[in-house]
Amino acid sequence: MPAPETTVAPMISLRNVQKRFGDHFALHDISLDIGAGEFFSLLGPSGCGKTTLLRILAGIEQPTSGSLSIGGDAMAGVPANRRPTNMVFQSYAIFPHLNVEENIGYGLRNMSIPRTEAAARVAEALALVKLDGLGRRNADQLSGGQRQRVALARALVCRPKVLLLDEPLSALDKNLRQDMQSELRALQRAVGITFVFVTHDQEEALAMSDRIAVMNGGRIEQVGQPAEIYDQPATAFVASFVGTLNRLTARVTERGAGHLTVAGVPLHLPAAASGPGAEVTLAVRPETLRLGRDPECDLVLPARVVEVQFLGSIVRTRVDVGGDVISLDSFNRPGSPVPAIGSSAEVSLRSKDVIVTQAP
Amino acid sequence: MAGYGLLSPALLIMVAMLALPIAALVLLSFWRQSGYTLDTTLTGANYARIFGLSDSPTVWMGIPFYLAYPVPVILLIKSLMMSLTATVTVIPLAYPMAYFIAFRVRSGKSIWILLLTIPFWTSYLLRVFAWKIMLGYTGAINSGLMALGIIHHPLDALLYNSGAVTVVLAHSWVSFAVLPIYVSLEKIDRSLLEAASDLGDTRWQRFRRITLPLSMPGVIAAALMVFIPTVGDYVTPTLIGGSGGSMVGNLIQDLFMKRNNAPMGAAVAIVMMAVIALIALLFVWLTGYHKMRARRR
Ligand SMILES: Nc1ncnc2c1ncn2[C@@H]1O[C@H](COP(=O)(O)OP(=O)(O)O)[C@@H](O)[C@H]1O
Ligand SMILES: [Mg+2]
Repeated sequence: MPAPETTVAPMISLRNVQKRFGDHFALHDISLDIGAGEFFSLLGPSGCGKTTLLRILAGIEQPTSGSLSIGGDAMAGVPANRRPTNMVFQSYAIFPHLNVEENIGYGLRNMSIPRTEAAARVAEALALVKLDGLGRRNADQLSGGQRQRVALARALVCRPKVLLLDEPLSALDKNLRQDMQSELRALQRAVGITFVFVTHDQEEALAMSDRIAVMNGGRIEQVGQPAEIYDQPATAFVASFVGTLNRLTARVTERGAGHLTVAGVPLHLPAAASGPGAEVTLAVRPETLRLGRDPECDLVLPARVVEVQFLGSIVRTRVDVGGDVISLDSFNRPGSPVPAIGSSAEVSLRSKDVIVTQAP
Repeated sequence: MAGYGLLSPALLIMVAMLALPIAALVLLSFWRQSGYTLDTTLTGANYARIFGLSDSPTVWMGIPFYLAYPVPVILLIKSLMMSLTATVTVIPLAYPMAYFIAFRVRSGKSIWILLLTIPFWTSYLLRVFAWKIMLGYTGAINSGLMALGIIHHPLDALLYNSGAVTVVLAHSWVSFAVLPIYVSLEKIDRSLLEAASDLGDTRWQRFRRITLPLSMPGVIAAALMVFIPTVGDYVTPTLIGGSGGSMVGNLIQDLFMKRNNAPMGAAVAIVMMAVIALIALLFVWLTGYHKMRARRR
């Protein structure tokens, strides 16, 4: 799948941005374009530099080197208070001495907006985040979900070109988080503002984003649409960080031609080109594997059932294939038998679903 | 409210240590001195004398006082004004110091706090004496100005007036006032300040709208810490104030020691304490009231 071409000038453009704290590089050479109106996610493990990148966009932190422009304007020397961005902080940063209305209207006081219009915009923002009637509530009388909504409304009411969100859902419990995911996505479509959304949760990023940048150790490993990231991970890190991944050890039988054997079964993968006798690691997603012999699949591997997990609508079976334990998911259909632990089975897959990574 | 919480252990100890002496003082104020002996029949005569009216007013600072014995009331009002001036001087001096340590010092904050306590390594008396040497007729300031040829005769307005007392009181208490303000500034979540900037505040707007309101509990605590003990101070007015700068503490000391009228001294002391307590409560109520109203709205 080709990367989407941004035909118009990008909303955010980062060029060779580096950030150093002492002698520790939090960001190495980040170059990135984010289009207007995109829901763009920065995905990566804790400490990979997501927050630092967001703070550089907001102007709270200055890059050590490199340049950045937002909406076509260079941001060098532009302080946070004059940038066309607003941020939803990870801690929400709700002002404790102000009530909900005063919190939401905080930024409007700095624009030359008539009092009545400002009040109308605050009311509109309250309705947008479904907090109608709570305007007079004090900040310390709010639940976590409500605080998150206040933070969101406070940023959106300023109508920024770019909304920056630092793990806004990570403090919420699971059900609320899932509701907020779709709500936030719908909100972004409604307001049409560019969202830069930071998360360490790959499911969240896949579910919500137009495009994702996967980060690791201060670098961007891959940028792409969710399906691209998931189906064609560019690096071993992306492959393992996004989604569940099974690893299979294969042995190369013919040098340069991509002929391999897995658990004694031959297969042809042109992407794997190493010397004969060498071992390569193949990666397969749980959902591309079928238990039993499937006529649509060109590869059938012998396996032994090790563990069966019943997950409700899905049954996750763990099987041993030539010494590697892998997981595969199947729908729980009434009538289909649950495999017995210790029984031998067959696993089918299509060789085009195998991901060859240059992993060690 | 958390700011007052910081004071409560100190408050508890003070109540325990002062309750008995104060009870004794209250009792004493209802007795009378007759010659060299104490008349222990309970009477309100001392209070009646302090507040006793008269037809011919005593005018002080242009205000007529229709009191038969106006000295305690006038001195008390004068002391309150001087303490208030000292407090109002101390807070804007202490606030920048506290702000600097809380927000500008990156490492070694405890060293800066330690530096603040250096004045307390010598006694209060010595520090006040040092001021006397500076402000005196042949003191450092006068001889310095004369050596520079700016003045030809020593200025005698530097010492022995209420202005000098106020300056010395402010200097003595400014380091104390830094600490509660520092604590309240240190507690402010830095992401609140970042959020304020993100929402378009300049540094000054951010200070006015976020930092200052959130540090108010510390400012209130600091103001009380300076105001309450300075009203009754008598060391500084004795050494620096002379006759022009004497305060109510001097009168109390005078009544106890020189004039041999301990019950009257006790009554003046009790009136002073009651007035300070009232003002402090009013102050806390006024400043706290604002916050309460914001919460209830
Ligand atoms: N102000 C700072 N001083 C020193 N190191 C920092 C600072 N902020 C972040 N870092 C370091 O930079 C790296 C990236 O941090 P961060 O951007 O917060 O990661 P993430 O948000 O992805 O978890 C981490 O190793 C962190 O310790
Ligand atoms: Mg972070």
